[in-house]
Amino acid sequence: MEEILRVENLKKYFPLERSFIERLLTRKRRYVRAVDGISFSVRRGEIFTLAGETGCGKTTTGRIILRLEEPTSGKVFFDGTDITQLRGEELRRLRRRIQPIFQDPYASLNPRMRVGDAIKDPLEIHGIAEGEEARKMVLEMLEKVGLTPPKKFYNLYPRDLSGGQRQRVAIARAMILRPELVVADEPVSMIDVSLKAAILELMLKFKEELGLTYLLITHDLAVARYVTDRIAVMYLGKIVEQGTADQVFDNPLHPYTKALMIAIPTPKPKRRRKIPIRGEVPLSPVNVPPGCRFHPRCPYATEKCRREEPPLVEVEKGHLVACWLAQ
Amino acid sequence: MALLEIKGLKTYYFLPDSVVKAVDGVSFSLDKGEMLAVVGESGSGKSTLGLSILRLVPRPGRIVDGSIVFDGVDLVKLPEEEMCKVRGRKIGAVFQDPLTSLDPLMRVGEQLVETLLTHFEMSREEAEAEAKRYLELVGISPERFYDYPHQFSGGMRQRVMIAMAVATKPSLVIADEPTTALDVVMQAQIMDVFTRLKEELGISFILITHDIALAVETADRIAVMYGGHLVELATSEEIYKEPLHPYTKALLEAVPDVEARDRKLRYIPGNPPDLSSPPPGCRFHPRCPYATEKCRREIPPDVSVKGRLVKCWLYG
Amino acid sequence: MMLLESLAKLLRRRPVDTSLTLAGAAIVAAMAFMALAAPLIAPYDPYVSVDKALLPPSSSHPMGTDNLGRDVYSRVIYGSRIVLTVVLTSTLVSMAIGTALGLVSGYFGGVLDRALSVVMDSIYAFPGLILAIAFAAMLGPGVYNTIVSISVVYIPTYFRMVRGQVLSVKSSLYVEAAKALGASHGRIMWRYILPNVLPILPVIFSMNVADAVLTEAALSFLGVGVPAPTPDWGFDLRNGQRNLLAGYWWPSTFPGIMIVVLALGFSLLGEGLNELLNPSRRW
Repeated sequence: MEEILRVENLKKYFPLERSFIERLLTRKRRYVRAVDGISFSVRRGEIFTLAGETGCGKTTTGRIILRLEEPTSGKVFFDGTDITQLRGEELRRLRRRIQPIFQDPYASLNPRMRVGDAIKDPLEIHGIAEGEEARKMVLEMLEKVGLTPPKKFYNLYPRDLSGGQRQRVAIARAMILRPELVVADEPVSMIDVSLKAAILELMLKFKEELGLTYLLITHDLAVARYVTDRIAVMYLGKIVEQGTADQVFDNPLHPYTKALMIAIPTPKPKRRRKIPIRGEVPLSPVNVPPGCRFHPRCPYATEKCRREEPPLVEVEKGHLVACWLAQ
Repeated sequence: MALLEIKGLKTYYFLPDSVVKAVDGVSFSLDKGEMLAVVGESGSGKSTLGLSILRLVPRPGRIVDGSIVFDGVDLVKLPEEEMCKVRGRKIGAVFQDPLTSLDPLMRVGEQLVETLLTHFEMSREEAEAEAKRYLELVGISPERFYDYPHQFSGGMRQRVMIAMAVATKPSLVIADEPTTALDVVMQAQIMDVFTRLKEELGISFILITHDIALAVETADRIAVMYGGHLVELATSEEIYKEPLHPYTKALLEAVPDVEARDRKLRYIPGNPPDLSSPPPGCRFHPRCPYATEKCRREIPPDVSVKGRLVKCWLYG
Repeated sequence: MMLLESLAKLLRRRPVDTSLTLAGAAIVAAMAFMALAAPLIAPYDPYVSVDKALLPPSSSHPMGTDNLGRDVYSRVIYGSRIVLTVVLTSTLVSMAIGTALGLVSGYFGGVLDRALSVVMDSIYAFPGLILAIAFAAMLGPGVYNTIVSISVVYIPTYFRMVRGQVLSVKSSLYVEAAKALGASHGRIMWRYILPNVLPILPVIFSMNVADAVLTEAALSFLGVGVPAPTPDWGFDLRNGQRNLLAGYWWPSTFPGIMIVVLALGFSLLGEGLNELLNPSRRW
């Protein structure tokens, strides 16, 4: 299978605001190392998940791929081209091929635009269709995403719709361009439990029909488990484990991944789980500890873990871990 | 005698052009040292239920009917000044967003001390010592007594809130989505804290959540709410092994399980009910695969099945 | 459409708010009618002397005559034309320029934004009236010059408010989504940002007009606004002032009342619109 997306040593550092005194006394800046050197590739037609807790850098990575954010360093290759260098007209043409689905269906739609116009806009932006022809395409799309009768939904405003319905509109807007890669950032985390599967099914349906590739970004490993082919777990800006769904879920090697698996609630009564990690994710990835980032919380940390940062190494085919103990 | 006994509670919101029947006839009881989870999605009325018990329902809502008997006293009929003595002292509360519940300008330990001094007769030294004890109880190192809220992460802040809620030695704590904004690891740790507090201090909990998996794992009993009605009430074991109400069944089937990969994830077609004009009869009937004509016309009664409660015509 | 729905909702809500808004709207409507129908309802030509000077109010001259024998009532009616024209035009001009600049400045940021903000803040720092007088004095009297003077004063108001809104809307998710779709800057500003900024304008506009009424009156009062013999309330206020001490109250008082009433009308309307479009959650 060919590779559609490749991320190489991607870094994104956000400079911290300095107080007046700091500005006077030193030239050094402090940074939030949101993404600190990650590399991975996604194959055409697969679902690849970037998983992790808040602050791990997965959302920032997604935004860089969507060109909503510039990387501090590193490259992102889409279909062979380094997209971080694209500007102007080329960038616009690229956007047609990579589309987002955002987490918050309440915030991702323009409150002053009717549903029909919101879905029609991309067609006009890229000169695909106009007027009556565009309208027809939108009505078809509304039908496809289950917002029927389409004529009624065409004229509604986002505020007239429920969360699930709005997310369908957002999906329609993304899909009408027939993109090749969809970056879905927590697409169902704000949807009711009883409706999550419906949205996921819709996303899978489009995948079939358009031959899409998904980069799924989520903290909900249960949802990831349900749809993903491969997964990379992130912690404090780095990938700590990566592999196929079966590899990572059935045989997690990194202590953090193990802890995540245990921590996820499954509806089995009275399960007292011992979470094998202490403390919690630092407030922000500013003062990254030396050595392995995870060592302050790791019950198995050794001297080496405290001093040297473990590299991401393949321990079985396709399964990579960044941990001294797994190597 | 049960610690809390709710009978026929109705809480409505009176809007200019409609009446939202958020809680429409809910009854259940809670024993000492028991954790009950109230599970529901948007439009179920679960949050309003929690607020009703605390008598904190915001206007234009109010309790229109029913009784909430806590420790022998009907809270619905209690005058506000008496309720103030109950709220925060005998019934504690933990809400979803710890960011806005803590005073950013006051040291965390200080806020705990204030709570203690407000409700108890004790000296400042005694209060400080107590406060540090409670911080430890929820897993925060006592040195952090002197830190400000912004120096804590979300999970820690939530623990501070829990410490504040239990410092007054309440017999009941109502926690409304206490871990929704937190990471899954933090969530597990906080649930752990709740369980310990329940077992060591005998505090009863009402855990309001949309996450049925979390409820089944942590709670003793589960009350499933839908459209303002309590549709099923049973122990978590019973709910897991044998869900009776079609909604409960569907909910369990809709939860993705990280351990069971090949299970087909189901969803419930349709939308949550509009509480200002709920469907006639059983609130769930538009989405229920077993709905009959009777379901469409009449609201099902509360039926007792094997010592559990179900609100469904299939059983009555 | 949205406006009508909101209006209906408002009418069902708080009677006090509603009646004040309607009172404001009624005043403004009455004034507008007066201005439009002036030739039909004014009994005399306001420019010419039609009777003896300084006659007190009577049945033939309900508001008396001024020091040049002109009918005050007719001058008051025709005055509304000038006042409304000047005031509405200048506010609309301010709104157009201020909004456009605020939109562009807020959206693009950077040097442009900093430069414009400094300029606008400087203008804003001046007491409005002083600035208007300064401009009017520079430009000289005349209707067009008055419009320009008043416009300048209010541009920063719109600039600041619009820029503020733009800054907050700019970072919202739907704008990011539009960017991800490949929308051009112009498209984003026009279809995504501007419509979400517009709701605040009617309220500012109303309040502005109220203020502009007073500013215009002041300019004309001081002689740097609308010149004689054009009927204008501010001017007439000054004109009648000479004879006030001698007991001739009517040439000043009636125009004065009109100024106050019109300003009040727009104020009430502005407040009411504010409740309509941005209802405060006070259950």
